[in-house]
Amino acid sequence: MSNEASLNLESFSYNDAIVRKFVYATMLWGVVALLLGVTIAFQLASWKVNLGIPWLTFGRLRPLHTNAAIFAFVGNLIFGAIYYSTQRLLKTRIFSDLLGNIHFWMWQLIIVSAAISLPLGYTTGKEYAELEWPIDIAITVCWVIFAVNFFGMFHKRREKHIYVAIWFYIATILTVAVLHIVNSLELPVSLMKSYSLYAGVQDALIQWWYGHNAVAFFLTTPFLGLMYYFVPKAVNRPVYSYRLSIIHFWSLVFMYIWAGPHHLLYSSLPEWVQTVGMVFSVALWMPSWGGMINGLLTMRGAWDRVRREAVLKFMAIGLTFYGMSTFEGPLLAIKSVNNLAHFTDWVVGHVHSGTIGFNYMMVSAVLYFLVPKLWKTKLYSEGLATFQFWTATIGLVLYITSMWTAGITQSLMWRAIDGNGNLVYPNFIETVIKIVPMYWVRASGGTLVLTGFIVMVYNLLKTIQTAPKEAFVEDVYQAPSLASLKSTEEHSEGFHRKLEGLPAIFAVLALIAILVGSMVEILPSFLSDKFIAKNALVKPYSPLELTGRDLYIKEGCYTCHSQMIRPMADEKLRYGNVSSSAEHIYDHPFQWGSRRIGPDLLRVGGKYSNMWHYRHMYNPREVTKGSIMPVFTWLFKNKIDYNSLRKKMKVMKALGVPYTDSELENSVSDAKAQASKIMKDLNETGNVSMKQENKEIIALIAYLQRLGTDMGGKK
Amino acid sequence: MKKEVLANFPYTDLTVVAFVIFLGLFLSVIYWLFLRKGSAKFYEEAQLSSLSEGEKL
Repeated sequence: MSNEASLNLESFSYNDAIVRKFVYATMLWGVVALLLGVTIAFQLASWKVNLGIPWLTFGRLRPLHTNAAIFAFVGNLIFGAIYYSTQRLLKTRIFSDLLGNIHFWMWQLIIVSAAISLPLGYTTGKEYAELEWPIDIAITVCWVIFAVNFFGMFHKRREKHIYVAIWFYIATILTVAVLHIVNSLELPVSLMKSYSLYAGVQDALIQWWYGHNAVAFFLTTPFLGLMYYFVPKAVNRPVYSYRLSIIHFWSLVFMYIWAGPHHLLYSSLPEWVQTVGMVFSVALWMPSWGGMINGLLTMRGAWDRVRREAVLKFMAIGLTFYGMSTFEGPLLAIKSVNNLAHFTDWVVGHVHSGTIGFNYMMVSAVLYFLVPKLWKTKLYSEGLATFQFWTATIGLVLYITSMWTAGITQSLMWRAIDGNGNLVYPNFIETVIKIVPMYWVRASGGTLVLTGFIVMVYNLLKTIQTAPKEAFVEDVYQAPSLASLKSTEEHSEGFHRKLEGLPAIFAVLALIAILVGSMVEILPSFLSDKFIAKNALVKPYSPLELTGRDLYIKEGCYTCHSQMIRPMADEKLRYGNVSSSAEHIYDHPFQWGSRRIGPDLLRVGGKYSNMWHYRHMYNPREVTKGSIMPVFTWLFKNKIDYNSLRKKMKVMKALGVPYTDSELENSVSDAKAQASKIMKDLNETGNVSMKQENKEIIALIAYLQRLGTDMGGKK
Repeated sequence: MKKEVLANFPYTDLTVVAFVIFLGLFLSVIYWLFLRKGSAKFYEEAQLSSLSEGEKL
């Protein structure tokens, strides 16, 4: 019997309805995420755009923007495009239509929960992982549902070989699960309040292991998988080098996970961890560029179509920006360059050359590919797509160049030291005022990017309107069953070839690849008590200071202020003694921050009077002319929450903070006593009404005045 | 001892060992993909799977 005759043909259809849902969600949340980005960009250009409303303030909206962009906008596209491509690559329907629908609606519910909770100030204070514990659990459940639906397709597949795009999806699903679970471990205080299980250096290392790899495994690997599927489909020719894609996959997946510590260079992290992070970041150049070159060369022979077709146009620019941002990333990870760039807007420019340049452009390419296919029609207007292409590209160039300029200007001004060894710009505000024009340019660039996206949504909705009625009738396909394919195998297979057909073992090996780097980086942090020399001077926060710290986290102060003084002459001159790992051991979570839109606050305690802080929080420009900080007037109206104080300290104690039973017992009276002391000072120095004693501003002042005073600050 | 190992990394020989291991693995993968008999044909077939969606009835 011939091979063809022995093939058992099976009929099946694809579930495109679920993909269509995710396409709609991508369009909706894309507008929201970009609108939020433009809003916070204008808030930095003019503080008045904060409107004096708590839930519209930069510190609360910035986490919402990042979460919306990563998990809502990009997340929905990833899910939809993975369902679309995996069904076709495995020649099977999704494992369960019901699970697909649960996945979709649960993810939208999670996004809505984030959109409500973050502006209200419910946050863990960890970048890109700000969502509180009930939402974290919902994300885990939803991710498991997605994983079951994805891996379930392997059992029903009609394709023996697991195509390289699917390898990237497997790595994404497994790694994001590991990252999310490990980084989100926290002890709840109440329904919407928790403290990270980790503290200080340990928390920083785990957070940036997560933070960096959220970029790697949520914003990069799924998109590389999509690249390996959609670019060949768009040009109708196979990938330039399939073998290069295998090298690309294994080297990228193995190396990426090590690179997290480059976010913590010159910090109080052990030196060797920083070096390992830097070395692997630089090494990432190779797989990243290998992948980019593979993608671009797949378009060989189709470059004439790039000028005419929206899909290829956006793919070409997306891959080009992928190459540029993966060149810039390793560059920024080199310690001497990082010395200049860290905490500046250069990093923000770099991030957006990846997220807008690569993700936004690839999302656009995939949407322009998917919508006409899913609705069985033609794109409404190539002209509008070209308009979006140019507005987005020009907007992005404005964004990046303004942030490069702002970042380098900031850094050079921060570090300028005159012939006598003094800072040339001792007032931080001088360095802020200088870059405000760049913030206007950035906001204008962002507006262009948003405009382009809205035009695309309009173009796609008009395309959908032209869909014929039969667009929603599922087409029936035919392919040989997997069993019959296996029975006709003519030659014996090598190890990797067998592996490529064994998803379970393949997944385990991919997991091992990411766990090697994770273990080497993370395990030492679990032994942090062994290498962090305890310092008797470092004491836990008082009850009122702890309350103030929670307000600091709630208002998102970490989005503008760092608490990490690096071992550099200018930082020592400007901020005081260099940070040590010992002084962060009670910081659940750590608040080192990643930007200095405002100055570092690690040793701000005792630097100014209570009255200065009081006036500064009410109207920053009253004490710092030209400040771009929002007002925080509601802190002068809201009462301190004394009720949860004991519970908070109890949780902290469970996490290892050495509060005594008597401190727990007297937490409220101690807090009130400290508040009374601060109030008395405010009353004497500024004639502030004693009625303010139970207001949140007093707790925040208590925390700010405590910062850095244990080691090297002023008492 | 543990404290020293964790706080610093003075064992430069280990970085050479790590480099040799990584390079060795990389060269092995190159051999596996490009030089093994039958590789070219197999991957030429495999790369086409992205273009096929099954036969539409």
